Amino acid sequence: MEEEKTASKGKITSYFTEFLNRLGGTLLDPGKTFEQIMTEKGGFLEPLLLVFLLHGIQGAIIGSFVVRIILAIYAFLGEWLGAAPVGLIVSIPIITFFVAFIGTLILWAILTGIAHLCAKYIFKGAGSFGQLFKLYGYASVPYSLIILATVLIGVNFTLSPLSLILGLTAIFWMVLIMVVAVDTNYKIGSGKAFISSFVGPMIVLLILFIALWLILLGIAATFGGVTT
Amino acid sequence: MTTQEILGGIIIAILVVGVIYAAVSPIVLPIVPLEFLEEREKVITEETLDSATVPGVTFVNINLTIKAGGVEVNFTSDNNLIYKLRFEQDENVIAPTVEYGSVSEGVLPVNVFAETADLYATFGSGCTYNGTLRVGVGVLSLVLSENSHVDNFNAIVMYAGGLSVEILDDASFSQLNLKIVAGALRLRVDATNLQESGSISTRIEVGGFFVEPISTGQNLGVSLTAFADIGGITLTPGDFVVEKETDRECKIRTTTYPASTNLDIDIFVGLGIGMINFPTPMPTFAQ
Repeated sequence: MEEEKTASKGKITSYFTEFLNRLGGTLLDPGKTFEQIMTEKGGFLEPLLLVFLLHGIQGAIIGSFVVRIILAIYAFLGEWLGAAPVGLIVSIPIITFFVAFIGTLILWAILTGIAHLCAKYIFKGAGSFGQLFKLYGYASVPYSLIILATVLIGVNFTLSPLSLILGLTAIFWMVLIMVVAVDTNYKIGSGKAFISSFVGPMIVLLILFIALWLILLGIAATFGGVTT
Repeated sequence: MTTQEILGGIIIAILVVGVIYAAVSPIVLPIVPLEFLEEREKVITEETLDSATVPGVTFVNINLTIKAGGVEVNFTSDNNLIYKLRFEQDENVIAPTVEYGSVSEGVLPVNVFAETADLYATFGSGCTYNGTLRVGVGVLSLVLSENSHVDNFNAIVMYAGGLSVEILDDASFSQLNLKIVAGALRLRVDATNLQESGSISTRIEVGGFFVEPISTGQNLGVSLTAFADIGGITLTPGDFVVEKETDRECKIRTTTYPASTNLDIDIFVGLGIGMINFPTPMPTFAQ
């Protein structure tokens, strides 16, 4: 019995060490780490948990900023606004936690889909959508730097330049990890992987912006009487 | 421990810091001290004067100034009451001063001053009131009911704020001069009759005015003239007779005007907007 308990404890410790290894490995050696993840055939739970925590916590921090602003408004205008709806205000970080998580889930699926279409059908790679979806979840790991940057701004606004550097570093790092994820999954080379994971989504985004712009122009011309 | 494991640990630590920050920052790092949010203990000062203390008063000449805060003026049916002033102030604020002079030919001069206060002023129905009510920054609310006997009131928002005037059934006043440097006026007329004809003259330098739907009876005629120098006026004519309507100017009257008693309203806005016959979008001081 004692031996069983020790074995179970050891298993948990071993899993946690491996988990830390995968987190650090995603940052330092994403190629090797992703090969290992693909070989071990790990499930979706771990990347899902990462996305849930990283993006949810960032959402909650933004929510706490909103709470601070609302409390400041009530401090000055409470006499006219009445009693602060404490229940609603307290729940804002929880709401923003889940909004950020759900938003990221949607974005995660869209980015994976675009990269998959490019790598698989344009560059004739051999990987699967599910595998890339899983690896893209790990690409959120540098997002922890954005969390740190946001906390630093919240603690002291004069740390904004440092936060900006951290934020930009995180974005570049995430793009790099996504490129490695596509390359590892489809074996198409880093140039094609960059096009699939970054240029492809940017082109889609640009097309969406142009379409939206044209729609808005159309609406303005119809209802606003725009003349040229 | 490998470098990768240490880095993984740092990421977990950042997540923990993030959770702690999101949970406690609104309390530990508020933009303004939380004491501002707490229900602060108010210092109440009450000053009451009645005809038993100062007999022979028929007119009250009041000169009231509150630099920052609110003033709400009401009238009661108590004909012995000259005034009841209730000041609500924060702690460590200079106390208000209320002084009255000697009665001369039935006229009692009253001076009221406070740096910062919310003042609830109640006047009786046994005297006629004259005077000037000033608020530096804040809200001034005037409710004229059947118990009000006002000869001439000047209500002034000296710097910025709001002015709310309500004319109710059987109110009695001759002249109201309203002035706002920067802010908004809310005017509500809900009277089927007035005890005498009266007029309201308003000047708003920068801001706006909102005249709520005017409700009158057969014995009361209302005429309203409004002009915006720079800005605009929006009018919902309703049952009014529109004599003039442009983007910046309007003149309307009820079908009963002129009647046995009349109310003439004149509003000037320097820079701003006006809405006539609209439900007010503004909370009142009492709310």
